[in-house]
This record gives sequence, C-alpha cells and structure tokens, in this order.
Amino acid sequence: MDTTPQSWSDLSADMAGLDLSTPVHRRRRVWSRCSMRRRMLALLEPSASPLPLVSAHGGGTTFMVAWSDLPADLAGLILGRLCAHADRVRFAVVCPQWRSAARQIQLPPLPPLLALKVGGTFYSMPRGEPLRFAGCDEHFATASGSWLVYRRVYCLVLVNPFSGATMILPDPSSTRGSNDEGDDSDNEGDDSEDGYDSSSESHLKWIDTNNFQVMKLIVCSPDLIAALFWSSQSYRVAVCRPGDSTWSVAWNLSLWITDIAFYKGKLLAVDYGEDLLALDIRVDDKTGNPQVSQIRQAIKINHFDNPQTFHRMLYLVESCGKLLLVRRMIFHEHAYGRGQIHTFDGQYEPELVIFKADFRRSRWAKVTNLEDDEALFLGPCSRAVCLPQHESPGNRVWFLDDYKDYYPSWKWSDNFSSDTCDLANRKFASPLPMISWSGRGGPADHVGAAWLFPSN
Amino acid sequence: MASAGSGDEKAAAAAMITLISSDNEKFEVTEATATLSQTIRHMIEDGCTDGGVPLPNVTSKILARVIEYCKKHATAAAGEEGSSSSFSDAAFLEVDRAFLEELEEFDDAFLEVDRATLFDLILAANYLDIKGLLNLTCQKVADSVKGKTPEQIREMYNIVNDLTPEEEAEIRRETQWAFE
Repeated sequence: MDTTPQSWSDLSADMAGLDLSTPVHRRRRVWSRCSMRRRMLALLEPSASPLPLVSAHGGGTTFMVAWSDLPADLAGLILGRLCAHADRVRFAVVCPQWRSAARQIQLPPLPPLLALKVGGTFYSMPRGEPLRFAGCDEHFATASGSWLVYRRVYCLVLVNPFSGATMILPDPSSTRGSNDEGDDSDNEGDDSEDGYDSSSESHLKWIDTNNFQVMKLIVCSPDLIAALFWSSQSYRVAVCRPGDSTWSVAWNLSLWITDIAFYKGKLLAVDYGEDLLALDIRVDDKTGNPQVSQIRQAIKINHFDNPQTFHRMLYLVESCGKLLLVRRMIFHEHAYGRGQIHTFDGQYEPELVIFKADFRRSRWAKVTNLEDDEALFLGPCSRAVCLPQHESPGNRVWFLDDYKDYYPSWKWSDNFSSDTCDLANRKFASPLPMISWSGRGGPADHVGAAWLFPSN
Repeated sequence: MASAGSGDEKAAAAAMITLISSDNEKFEVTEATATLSQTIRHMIEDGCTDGGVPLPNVTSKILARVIEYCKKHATAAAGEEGSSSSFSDAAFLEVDRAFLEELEEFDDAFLEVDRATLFDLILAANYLDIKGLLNLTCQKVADSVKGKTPEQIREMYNIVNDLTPEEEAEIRRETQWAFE
C-alpha cells in the first residue's frame, strides 16, 4: 500500500478555498455545525489532480512524497526551530518552496554570532559552529549590530557581512573639537586655533587623538554615528555623520566613560562611577555635522570599588523598552587566562548585578529577574535577545571577557596561567569551552571578541 | 490491522470514538485519546461523532501511528489527574519524573521512522491539530538539517534543486558566508 502516491501538500489549492495547512481549530467558527464539519473533512479528500512527485527510496520500499511541497506554515515551523543563523539561511535555499516559506514567516529572533577580532573567525551560537565570511578575515576593531568595524589607513570601514553593505567613516585621529564654539575648522585634532584650550590641554588632546582606538561604535541613525574612543589616558565620546571627514569629540565629558547607548533617540553614556549622562546632539545648520552640544546628568551615583575588585565592567543595554545597567565585577583571581564566553543564569551578587534606570527618581533600581526567554549578550555591542524555544534558555546573561581589551599587554602580569583559574566554585558557566581567544593585548592589538547581531 | 484502541478501556465503553482512515479502516479509541486532536475534540463537543469520524486525509498506516502517540500521551495526562480527559501543559508538569523520562524514550523510539512516514505524520498532526505531535515531528526535521549544507538536505529529503541558475546565483551572493 505504500506505493500509493501521497502528496497532501498539493491539496490546498483546489479545496474550495480551504487551506489545508491551516489547523482546523482556527477555522472553527466558520465550520461549527456537524454537516459542515463532515463536509469539510470530505472536502479535504485527496484530489486526483496530477502532482509533482519525487521518488524516494526508504528501506527498499518506494515512497512518493514531495518534501519541497511541505505547506509554507509547516516549513516555517521547522525553520523556527533552527536557532543558528547559518542553518536558517541554508534551509531557505534548499528549494524555491522553502525559500518562499522562509520569506513569508515571521521568525523568532536569532542569537548573535561570536566574532573573534583576530583572523575573522565567527561562531554560530548557541552550538559554536565555526563560520567564515568571504573577505572578512582581517582583524577588526569592534562590532556594532550587524557591522564589523575595520581600521584602515585614514578611515574606518564598516562592513555588514550578512548583506555585504559597507560604510566609510573618518579615522579616529581625524577629530574636531566639540566645545561651545561648535565650528572648529581644524580637522587634524589640533585645536590650537579655537582659542579655547591652553597649549598644554591642546597638547594632551593631540596625544589622545593620535592614540585613539575604537572601543565601541553605534549606528544611531543613517546620519549619526557615535563612538567611544580610548587612548592610554582616557575615554572619549565622539560623533560623526557618514561621509564626514572628521569626528566631533566631546572633550568636556568625563574621562571615564565606559559604555554608550542610543536609547529612545538619546545618546547616553555611563561612567566608571555609574553615573548616567545624557548627551544632546546638535546638527550644525551650515555643514550638517553633528556634535555634542550639552551634557546632562541623568543618574548620579559615584560608585567606588572595593579593593578585591580588579575591574568593574559596566554595560548599558535596552531590554523591553527599559534601559538596563549590568555591572560585572571582575575579581583578581579571574583576571588571567584566555578570553572565553561566560554565562550567568540569573543574578549572582556580587559578581553580577542588573539595574534598571529609574529616570524619575534619578537612580538605578536593582532588577531581580530578566524577562522570560530573554538573554542579554554583553560586549563591545550589547543587546537583549528574546530566545523562545531555543536550546539555550533565556533569562541568562552572556559575557565576553572584554575587560581584558582595556588592558594593554604590558599591564598584564606574566603569571597568568590556564583557562581553569578557579572558576569551578563560581556560579557561572563557560558554555563553549573549546572557543577561546588571547587574553593579552589591548585595543591596538585587536584581541578579544564581539557579538555580531544578524539582521533578521 | 484491527481496531487499535479497543483493548483496555472496557469501562469507558460509552466514551469510545471510531476513527475511519482514508482506506476505510476503523479504529476505536477512547475519548481521552481522541481529544488530543483539537479537530476531533471540536467534533465531539459538537456531537458530530456518531457513526465514526471519517479522516479522508490519513491512511490507516499513519492513523495507527498517530493513535499510538495519542494513547501514550493521553495516559501521561490522565496518569496523575485520574479522571481528566485532556492533555494540558499544567497536567503535564505534575506527572512524575520517571514517567516523563519514559515518555521521552517513547517519543525518541516513535520518531524512528523513514522520511516518508515522518512527512505524513507532520501533515496528519497538523490536520488533526495535535500540538505535541506536530512539535515533536517538526523538531525531528529541524534537528536533522542542523549543520547540513543545502545539498546534503536535498539529498536527505530527496528534493530536486529546481532553483533557476539566476536564483541560485542571487542566493549565493546574498548568503555566501553561510556556505564557506
């Protein structure tokens, strides 16, 4: 009996407008009476129309099914269970039917890829399957959303490896001031002409500018890019418009900015004291160039470290419309070894504390739980991703050891040893222990890793 | 192949439902088993099951497998609740661990079928609206294609690549990175 052609998938077309792929209960109101129900079941009887069949051989018996004709919503159910971006892309190119199914269906969001700055190696999360992007095997400086940021001679080049799109930005050493005057014409980072700086300040700026490394970058809008630059002396926030020849640096901002975020149309920065600053951006009427025009304190804390702390990493991330601050304490005993992914299931004080911005009371309010299914991926670019039905449960925080990026190699003691630096008693896990990267270096060496978020 | 569900539920004889496959084979099952299918549940609620429920989309071979699944999972739902006739997530959570493990083993063994049967099970689960079975079978397909190239997937599922060379080139351009 197995030789009977079975290709139900083709039935939908001529079944009096009934789509077989729609579960019956969704049509219930229409077909509420017995006669209608029976008629419906009868209508769904296999038609005698010729069907495109593919012959398959299974266990010596010939079966006739056409997997390519799987109704689109069922193909979508399968597709939605693939949580690696590469798997979804490959599924969608198997045949035109699956391709069109993939286009019709609203898929759950994807977890990011892990991107190692050295050598352009990428790993699909959550299983750690390695990937390569053609033309993306150079070291990159940082990542922002779907963009990889490369430092080239005299410019930054942003490449979206998923779409192939590129964007050119000025080199971090090409800066103009963003003081009250607003229209410094110098584009070589030397602000001596603007009459605002003493010569020593000017000299320091010049040193900073020439050493600037890109730590973070945010594509706020097609006309506004914000970046966090680092030099051996300080952190600086700068803004530009794609196509500009210079960055506008907010020189009068705290030197200890550790993260920036673009939240509800506002550029925000958090400093090492956990103060939150709101940066107003003004666009020059004549040139169209953006610059930071005003800095306001949104949350004032002035947090200080205890002596056991090696470093505190602070991340700003938007989650379900709220602005979160995630504080990860790095203790001395952790600070060595190679970089790895670490995850926390829920909060563990003092290592991990999550706060929500309470703008009305100007404070950070402690959060006890993330939203269901939500995972925070924190690093040079941080995002919250809702991961329903995924192998890796939500309510989890994923860290890269990016605190190591902030310490140039000469600052590391030589006695750093293996990966195993007594993490066993800690309440966090290394879900992909086979993936690691050099823990020594610094921004200039392009060591470390970043999350790369595929556009859905 | 005779009535698959007629063995052990003499006491509940009043609540037996007859399902009729496309090749006119009759299967007698308990209401608890049948109502795992939302489609059949609605028919029962509307009193439309006298004289049997014809399922012209499901062959006896597939229907027997579907009933096997439903019987096992209906027992799971009823195991802790006693008189309950439905399988709900809440009830599922209360079932003890050992039984859950047994159920998992059952599901794994249940999925040891050839690709053609799997295809038919997916369509039947969708048509009969049996959520658990649909999830199970779709997950099986998803697991089988993970990490595979499109070519391997085509081979595995006997799918002819009838993308035009232009389409293929376009896709390659868009998604080159996934094939490296």
